[in-house]
Amino acid sequence: MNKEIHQSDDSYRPQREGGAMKDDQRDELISRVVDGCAGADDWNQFRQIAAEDQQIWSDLAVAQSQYEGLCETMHSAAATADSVELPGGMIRHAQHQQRFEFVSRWGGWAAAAAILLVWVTSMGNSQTNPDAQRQNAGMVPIGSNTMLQSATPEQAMDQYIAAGYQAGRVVGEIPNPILVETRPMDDGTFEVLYIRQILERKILDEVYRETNDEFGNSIPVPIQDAPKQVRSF
Amino acid sequence: MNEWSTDGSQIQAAIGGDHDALSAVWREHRRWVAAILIAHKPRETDLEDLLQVVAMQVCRKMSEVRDPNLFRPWLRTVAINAARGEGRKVNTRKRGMLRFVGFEHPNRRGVSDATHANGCSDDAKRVLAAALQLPESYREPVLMRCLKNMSYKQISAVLELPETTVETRIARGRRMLREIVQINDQQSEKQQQRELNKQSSMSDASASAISGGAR
Repeated sequence: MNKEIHQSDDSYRPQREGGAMKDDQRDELISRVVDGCAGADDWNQFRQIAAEDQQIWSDLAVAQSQYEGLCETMHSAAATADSVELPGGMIRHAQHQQRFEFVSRWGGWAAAAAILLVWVTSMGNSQTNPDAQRQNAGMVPIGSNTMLQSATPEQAMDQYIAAGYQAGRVVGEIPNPILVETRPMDDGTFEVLYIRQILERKILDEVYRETNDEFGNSIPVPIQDAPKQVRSF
Repeated sequence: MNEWSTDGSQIQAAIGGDHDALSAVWREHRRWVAAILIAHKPRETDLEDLLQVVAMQVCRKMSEVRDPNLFRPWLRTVAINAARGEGRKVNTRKRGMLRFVGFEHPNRRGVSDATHANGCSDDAKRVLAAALQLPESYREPVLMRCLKNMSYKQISAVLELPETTVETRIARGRRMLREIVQINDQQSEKQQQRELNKQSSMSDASASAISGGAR
């Protein structure tokens, strides 16, 4: 029976002797009584049906009880919902959303143009400067004499990626950073928070799968036979 | 509450970036958003976390709503996508979960923390579990109707359906719910009976083994 219910949505028709129309009418009467919006006509019809079908009273009682049970859980959900406000910092952001959309629409082209300009400039430099040629030969262009202590964050990051790649620790950087939030600043600029994703690899002696014990506690279980491929997190 | 207290002009103001209007619109609609999330989210996902996700989406994407009349269906879609997106993540986590030993994922919470119905009676939980077995098109209106005073008209505005269709779906959904609860109760009774039979047959077998050993 349960299976039958799940097979179809709108095509579902309860199987009863009186036919689908009569059943729908019966269900709607029960539903209106449960909702407390049954009028005099509805009650007359209800009594007429109840004269032939005593089961309707039992169905009404069950429907009423189930409705109250669901109201109880929805009341709890509503209380949870009432505690969730809009994130404060982002409301102001919404005010600037349209402006930001304009900027981002044209900002992409501006960024592309800037990258092209930098590339063309560096091409010109590399043809005349032998140091620059050596830099471009590497995977990540960093100053050959740049020490980590004096490096800018970008240079240090590039250095980490290059060193990690050579050591086999870093596989690569995911090209598209994840945008977390944009905040308009007082001076008309935008602060952009984003996540850079670096893919790393590690060789481990053994791996564990997380599972739950009979009490629902999380426990690690060693994997005996190495799976062909397991994706984590 | 037969009609929404936030009208089209207030929604339009919220779309235009008026944060007071946006807050008012969110406060009026967040309860039924919770009902939609419950109808679609995986069991172990925290309702509050999903509501936060939807709230963030409302802030970020509200300006993309072109017509105030389409705001409610749009919000429903945002809620459904948030719940289903979380469902996909849960499935991925379940398929193969490797962790460093001793590493606890910061977002991971126990299953018991995730169910908002924790404080409810057993009967209420049982009915909710059955309601979540309803087909999708019946589940949403049945749950929304249980929110205090949410009218057929309001539900029809959210679902973009005629009021008569909403009423029919709620009535049929309630009938299906009665049937599902009945079937679930019968199944659990059978299960209990099987366990009792198994226990009694095991105790009979051990008793005969003891008596055989004594002989």
